[in-house]
Amino acid sequence: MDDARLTLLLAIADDEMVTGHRLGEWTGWVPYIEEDLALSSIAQDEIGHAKALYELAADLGAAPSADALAFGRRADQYRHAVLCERSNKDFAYTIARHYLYDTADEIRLGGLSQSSFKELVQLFTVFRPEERYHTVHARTWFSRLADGPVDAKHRFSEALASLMGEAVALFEPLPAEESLREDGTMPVPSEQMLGRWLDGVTRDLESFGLERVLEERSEPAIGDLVPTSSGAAEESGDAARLRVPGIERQDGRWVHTGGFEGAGGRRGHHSEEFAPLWEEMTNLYRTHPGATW
Amino acid sequence: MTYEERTREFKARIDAGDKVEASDWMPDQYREATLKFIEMHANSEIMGALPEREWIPRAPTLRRKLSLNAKVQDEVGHAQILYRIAEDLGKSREQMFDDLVNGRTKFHNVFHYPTKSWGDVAVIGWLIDGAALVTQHALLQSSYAPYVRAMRRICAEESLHLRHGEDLSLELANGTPAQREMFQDAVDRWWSPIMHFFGPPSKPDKDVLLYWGIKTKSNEELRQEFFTTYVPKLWDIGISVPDKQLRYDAAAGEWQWGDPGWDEFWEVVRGNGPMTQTRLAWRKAMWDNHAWLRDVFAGLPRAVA
Repeated sequence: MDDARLTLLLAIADDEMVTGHRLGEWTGWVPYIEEDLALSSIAQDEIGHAKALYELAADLGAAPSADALAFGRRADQYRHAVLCERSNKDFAYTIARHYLYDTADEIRLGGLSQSSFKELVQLFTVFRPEERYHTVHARTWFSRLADGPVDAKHRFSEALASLMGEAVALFEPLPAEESLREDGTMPVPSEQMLGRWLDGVTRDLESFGLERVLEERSEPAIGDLVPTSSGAAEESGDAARLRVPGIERQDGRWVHTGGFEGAGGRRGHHSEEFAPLWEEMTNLYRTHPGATW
Repeated sequence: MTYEERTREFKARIDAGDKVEASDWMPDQYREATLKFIEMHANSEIMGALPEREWIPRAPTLRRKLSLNAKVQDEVGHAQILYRIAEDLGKSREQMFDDLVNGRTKFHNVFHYPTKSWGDVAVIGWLIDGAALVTQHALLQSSYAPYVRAMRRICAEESLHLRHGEDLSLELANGTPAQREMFQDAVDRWWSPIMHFFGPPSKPDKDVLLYWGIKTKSNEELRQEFFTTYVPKLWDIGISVPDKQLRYDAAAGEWQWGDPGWDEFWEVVRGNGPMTQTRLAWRKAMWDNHAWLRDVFAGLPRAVA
């Protein structure tokens, strides 16, 4: 198949797969039963979307099967954004990531709705009603935590501040973006989608007095609470870097001006947190080549 | 009417097959026994999610990853339903969760063991859920009406789990030699815990749960049902059971089985199973570190800007 289109397809599929995988790690552990059910549902939606996208890629000749794409690639062949692979930490952190990811996904689905890649657009019409519930869920929690007791608000805003930089990188342009623009696969360039997303996030943050998370970067304040063998807590990185890289305020708006924190996910460069996730997710499949399950 | 007279009248209702609603008068012993039983059932559903959920991140295909997540989600959903029913009997959900994570209440023995391979996922889905379904079907005749209504829904979902588990098991039994070995090994390791699950042969006339019609069948009746349903199926697919004495005695019309020994069972009941402390410690850490989340729902004042 067209390599450029495959890059796009895998970027979206891997985002959904890894996001669904991380949410599925919560199943059975969420300290609030109704939310356990909700996160499991969203996990299944995301993995279901990944499955449909991998199947499309396989149909177009990228691999013998969807499973071969999901479980049979090397870690550096996954094209998801680094944000998606970050370990779950606590509920506030997971909800912050859920909000940032699903609002971005909403913009992405909208930005590709007029794509010339018809098979992809067709899948999106199936995804969109489900994704709508994800953003409703994420926004409900956003306001509940941002407008909640002081501890909840603090934890949530710290989590947002630590994730914002890598969330921006969800829109890091694809390596083949130029040719995808030329043939109409991507009618809206990544940078433009990023602008739309930043506007929406800024509005949400402003309405709860949380705009500072766009100004000050912070490190995750909490280690990983969700027990899993792939759940090593994030190494504390460059603590001296206090600005969210790549965005600044111009003429009363937050805009993207620079590079991307956690850049390279779309080219297969991942953080130290992806290797254990990949190992756990693919080990059984890889250990029994040719077996059916 | 005195308390004793009301109690006698209540017992006569139960014996006549009448069902009890949450708002009905009930003797203290009935309320306490029902609450304790349903609370342990709820605890078992939420703790039972843990051994299986370990394999959601490791599931070998997209289809299995999806179905296992949905299956474990169902179990968590059963816990939610059951905790709500227990709540109506007079204990808050928060208190029940607090008691669970601090080791003050119990959950079923089979959820105290590790899951070592994908074979365990198959055995849990088929044989453990099968054993649970045998006991749960008997609860459809329970005297406590809200519990019966919950069990109708739960049994329907569990029947689906059984098909899921059977499908996983057949795939392994018909798979590569390594897959088949994986499944046989899991059956071997889980057999004693399954025998323990039904409990030691007990004296039905001493069982307070049978007396009040909360349960309707004895441990041994349920174990026999399990043998009849599952052992021939295992033998059919060439999987052996690690009980050399197990056989159907046609003359007696029942299965003869070898006593697995009960020391391990009592250790597990006392909270000393191989994974008891680990799982409770993780759950307690999760619970304690999210006290702030309960405050969100408790209506604590919101932060100022």
